[in-house]
Amino acid sequence: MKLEQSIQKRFINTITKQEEVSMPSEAIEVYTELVYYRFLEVFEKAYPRFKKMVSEETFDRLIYEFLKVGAKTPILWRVSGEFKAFLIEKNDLDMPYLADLLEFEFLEIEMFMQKYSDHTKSSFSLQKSYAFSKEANIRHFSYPVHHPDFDSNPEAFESGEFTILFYYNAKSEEVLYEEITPFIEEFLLSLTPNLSTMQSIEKIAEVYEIENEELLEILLPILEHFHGENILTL
Amino acid sequence: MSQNFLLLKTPYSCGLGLRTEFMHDVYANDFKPSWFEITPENWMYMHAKHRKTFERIVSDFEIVAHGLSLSIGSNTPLDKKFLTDLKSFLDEYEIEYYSEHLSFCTLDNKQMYELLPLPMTENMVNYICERVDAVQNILGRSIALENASYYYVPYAEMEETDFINEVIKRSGAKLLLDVNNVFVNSHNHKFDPKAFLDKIDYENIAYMHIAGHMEVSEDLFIDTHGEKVKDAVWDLLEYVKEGGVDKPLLLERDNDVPDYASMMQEYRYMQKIYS
Repeated sequence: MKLEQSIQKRFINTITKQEEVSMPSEAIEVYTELVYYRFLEVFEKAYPRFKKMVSEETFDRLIYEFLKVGAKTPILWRVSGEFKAFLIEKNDLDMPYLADLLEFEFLEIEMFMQKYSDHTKSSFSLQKSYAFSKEANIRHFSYPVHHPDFDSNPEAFESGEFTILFYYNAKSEEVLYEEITPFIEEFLLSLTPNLSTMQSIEKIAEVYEIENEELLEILLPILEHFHGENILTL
Repeated sequence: MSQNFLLLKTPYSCGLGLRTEFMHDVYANDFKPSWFEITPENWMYMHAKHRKTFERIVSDFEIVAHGLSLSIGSNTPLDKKFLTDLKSFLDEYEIEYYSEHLSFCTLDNKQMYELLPLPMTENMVNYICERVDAVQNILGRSIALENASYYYVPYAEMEETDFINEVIKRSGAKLLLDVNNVFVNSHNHKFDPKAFLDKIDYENIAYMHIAGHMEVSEDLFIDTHGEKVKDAVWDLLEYVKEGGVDKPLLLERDNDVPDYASMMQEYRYMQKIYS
């Protein structure tokens, strides 16, 4: 198979512009475009914000550079995750927020592609034990890539610490997100089946030396909202 | 191992490639295809908003899975994890039938996600036969391989028809005969599509594909699956039918996918011709 493999390798290198070999140019162009457009279609759907923030020439260049490294996954939508890792590793764009932006965009895809349980609706109760749903995600960003005006002028935004909660809303069929405080994150992750929600509130109130009633007043509407969005599960 | 395409033995049965663009309209329409073909790579991890409809369709219709990532002619070792996941998916949804392409899309572990032309040699025939056997063993199913469209022949020691016939005869796989691919290849590589079809072993056909292509220039047609099937391809299908083939036939559309009503209009036309 040495002959066959060398022919195949030369062919792939030619259509991905890694090698210039004398082959019929029209046929090679067809394959070059077929391969390029396959990746372009996937990446522009995965990263519409990133694509708008770089020039078309840059986007094209990045695709061809990625082709040299090569995609590994047989599942097409996942190649966007490989492209994300490649761009972050490459780090040759003057975009300090790049990793955050790509992570923000790709997480939406990952969350669309996961399986969600059918949740039976029950009312929220402080006496029940809940846990932070495995179907929701929390991410930490150094740039406010979740801000609606970020893309138009990213340089205007200062870096910082941003904790974003992502969840899937089955009714609107959208991945939604909201910024939460590190305290809310800590509380969400501290929820355990061994304690009722009220007990969890009392426990964290003690750690932070806050009155139970005071904390309950703040947390109750937030927890009811999280419960309604299936961010809390029994 | 399951028998070859037993449930698809209904003569002249017509199917449609399931696409997200119209899948949610299937139940709103009285007219439905006899069976659907799906791309398993697109459904092994499926978009949350399509899951319920997909599962309803898969439970109500006979389904054939038509893969893209197997890369049967690649030097990259078979992806056991992918194949195991694929088997789990096929088992979960009770999909008996799986087809792929006589091509390659990976080399040295690099994925191209495009069906690339194979060198047509005796060695490649032997190599593909070994891999088909391994795939069938992992999946616990017989598979079918599709004659691919190609715009360049990287190397050939034999005629394409001999290459296809040898692979099918010796590997135990069935043939998925893509009539549009034969037409597009015949135009681009200047051969007679009917003479080509005359050399194909019809008895090994599991089912067939028909699709639209783009006429880019006088010398170049591209297998885009992005428009209606051309008359010349319907004519070629008639020729296959006259040759005694009554195997199931599937209408493919992957680009510029129209609404369900338009798809069904073309499907009805296919039924009229192929019955």
